[in-house]
Amino acid sequence: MTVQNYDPALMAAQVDNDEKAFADLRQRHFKARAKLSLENEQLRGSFLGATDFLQAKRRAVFEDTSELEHLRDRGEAIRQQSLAQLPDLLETLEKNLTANGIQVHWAETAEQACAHVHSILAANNARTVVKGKSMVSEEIELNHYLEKQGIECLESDMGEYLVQLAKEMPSHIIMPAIHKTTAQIARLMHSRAERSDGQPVPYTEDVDELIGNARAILRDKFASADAGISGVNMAIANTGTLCLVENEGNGRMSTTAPPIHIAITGIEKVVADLADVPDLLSLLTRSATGQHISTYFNMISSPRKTGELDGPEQVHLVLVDNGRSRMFNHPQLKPTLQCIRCGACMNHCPVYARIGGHAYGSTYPGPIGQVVTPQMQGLDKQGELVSACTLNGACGEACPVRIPLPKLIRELRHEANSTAPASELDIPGKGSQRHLGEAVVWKGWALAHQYGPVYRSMTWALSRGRSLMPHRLGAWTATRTMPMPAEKSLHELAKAAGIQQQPSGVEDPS
Amino acid sequence: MSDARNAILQRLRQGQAQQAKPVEVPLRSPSQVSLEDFCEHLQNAHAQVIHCRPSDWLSTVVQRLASHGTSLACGRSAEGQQLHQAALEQGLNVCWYDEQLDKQQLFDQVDVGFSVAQAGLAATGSLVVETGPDEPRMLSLVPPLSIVLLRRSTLLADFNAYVQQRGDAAMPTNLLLISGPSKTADIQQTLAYGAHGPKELWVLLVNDVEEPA
Repeated sequence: MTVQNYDPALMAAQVDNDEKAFADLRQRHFKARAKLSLENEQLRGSFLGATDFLQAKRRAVFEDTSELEHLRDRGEAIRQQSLAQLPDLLETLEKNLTANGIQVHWAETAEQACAHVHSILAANNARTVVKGKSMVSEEIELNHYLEKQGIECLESDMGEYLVQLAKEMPSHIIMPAIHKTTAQIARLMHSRAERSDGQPVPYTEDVDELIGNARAILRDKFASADAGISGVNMAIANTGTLCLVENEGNGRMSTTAPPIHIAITGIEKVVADLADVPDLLSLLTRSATGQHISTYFNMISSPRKTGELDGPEQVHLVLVDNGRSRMFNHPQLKPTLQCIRCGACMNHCPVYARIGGHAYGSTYPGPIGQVVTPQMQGLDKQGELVSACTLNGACGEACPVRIPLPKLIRELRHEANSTAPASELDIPGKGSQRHLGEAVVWKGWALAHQYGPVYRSMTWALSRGRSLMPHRLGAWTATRTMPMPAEKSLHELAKAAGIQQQPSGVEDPS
Repeated sequence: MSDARNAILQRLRQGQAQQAKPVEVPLRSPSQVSLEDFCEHLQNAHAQVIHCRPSDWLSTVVQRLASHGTSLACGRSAEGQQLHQAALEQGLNVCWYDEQLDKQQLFDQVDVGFSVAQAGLAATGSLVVETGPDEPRMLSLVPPLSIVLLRRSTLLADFNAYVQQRGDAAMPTNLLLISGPSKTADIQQTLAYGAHGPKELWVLLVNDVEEPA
């Protein structure tokens, strides 16, 4: 499918415009981002289409619901057991990885993690890097850091590659370029992708050809890169093994072809044993993309051994905390760390489907992003995110490891308004979303429901003063009519109808 | 930076005190080993399953490759050596995957890689490949056509069954589950094969358990 009459200059301008629009969106506050995204018809089409598609695929692959529920029980138990022994498992993992010849580095912050990666690269004089998909590397903004040090870090997952080419960020943790249409990608590839001979790729809207063009460019990079970076889906403590889930083969390429492999992971990704892996893998691929299994499941336990013909000579693991040990210490928010990053919660979220991934303005969008991001970056900076939730519960029902996401979002709303005394392990920005007006309204509401006379005077005042109620009430009435109190309260009507007050102490029939 | 290590572990140990003991949920008993499921999953994933016998797998591959007119690389596994020999005899373009073959040549000049699977997983249509000196990691990854041999007798129910069978055996450098040719749906959810790795996967299913007639 080639287009006869097209103007390369116009295409380049359209691609530049997309980039500018994204940069503009990034500058704004959450509410403005959400509004802009809602107004973008094409974007809404992309996200609704994609989330419907992924929901249907997940449904089809879990046809036996009793099996699904049993697997979810297993997944939850495995993740909770792993977290229960987390410090011990991390030490065992370090010991076994080291024995296998894999070097382990610990980082408390994003900055430290980036510095580890950079010093490994610098020590080996590595200038070109290919990267497999890694959400933690996005979280610590590794590309940006390495770029400043003069190191080219090329994304090799097709979606990530396109997003990097467009100078944007992923809008979904599994399908990073989900927000772009084929036509946009066709323009992007033609305007910005460069073949190894320095020529632009021919314009095409054919998906096979587009992938073929990217394949050719990236295979040259795999063959020549000085180092490969990857994420980790699970790390097995007892065997000292790093596991990667993928379909494209770029994960295997990045971890096999270059002479150095650096894996980056959050400290929560560790499990005790190989026996913990199969069911988590099954939950992950089925929940993420509705596949029984991904094309590749890659378990790496050592660098190249004597007599072996390929594979990296050095393998490193960077263990990143970046707020995770603080989440671990919060009695209600700890389940945040059960997450296996499948993306099912965002695929089932009505808010995500409408505002899309970029509106969240964070590495992790959707329900899990609303829970992770404020805990990492602080409620003062990202506290507004927790308001983007209808509490319909769909995410909690979809989660393969039963993270009670709606409960966690409620807890964060509570934390954001909390006046409890500060402690060392608090979420940063605790209490920062508290507004005096709102606090007074809720205080009054609570009092009214505690004391009968207060309640009766409140309902009396509301019903008698109903004509004085304002017709507009901020954002609430932008899309809704203002509810009008009835002329008489339910209590008054009941009394008039001769219904006796229920004697106290009556047993609840349920 | 052992400071970071100690600080992280210390914070985690602080939080360990407040937790309840999590429940254990037993594994479900493994499903039946179904050859049909195995083949169906692989075919749905766009792989070709080629049924053959111990006596004719070599001639089957060589014949198919002859009509392809491509260059083949083999590792030094027993089957790799047999195939190398048979391909030479048929005048096919065949080479060893060894120190002589450099990385750029593998990327640019080899069309077909031959590998041997240690086991198959029926529930997902997966091939278990354990890499080592005779089973190089890139042989099943870089060439556009990947051929993987699997003995029918090594087919297991699922990944859990494989893990149980392994027991405490030491892990290879790279343990792989391969369940189709490489693919992506990153452009508007449209599936395309041959993302970075093989565009095609042929599974040579050698039936070594056939009942005597």
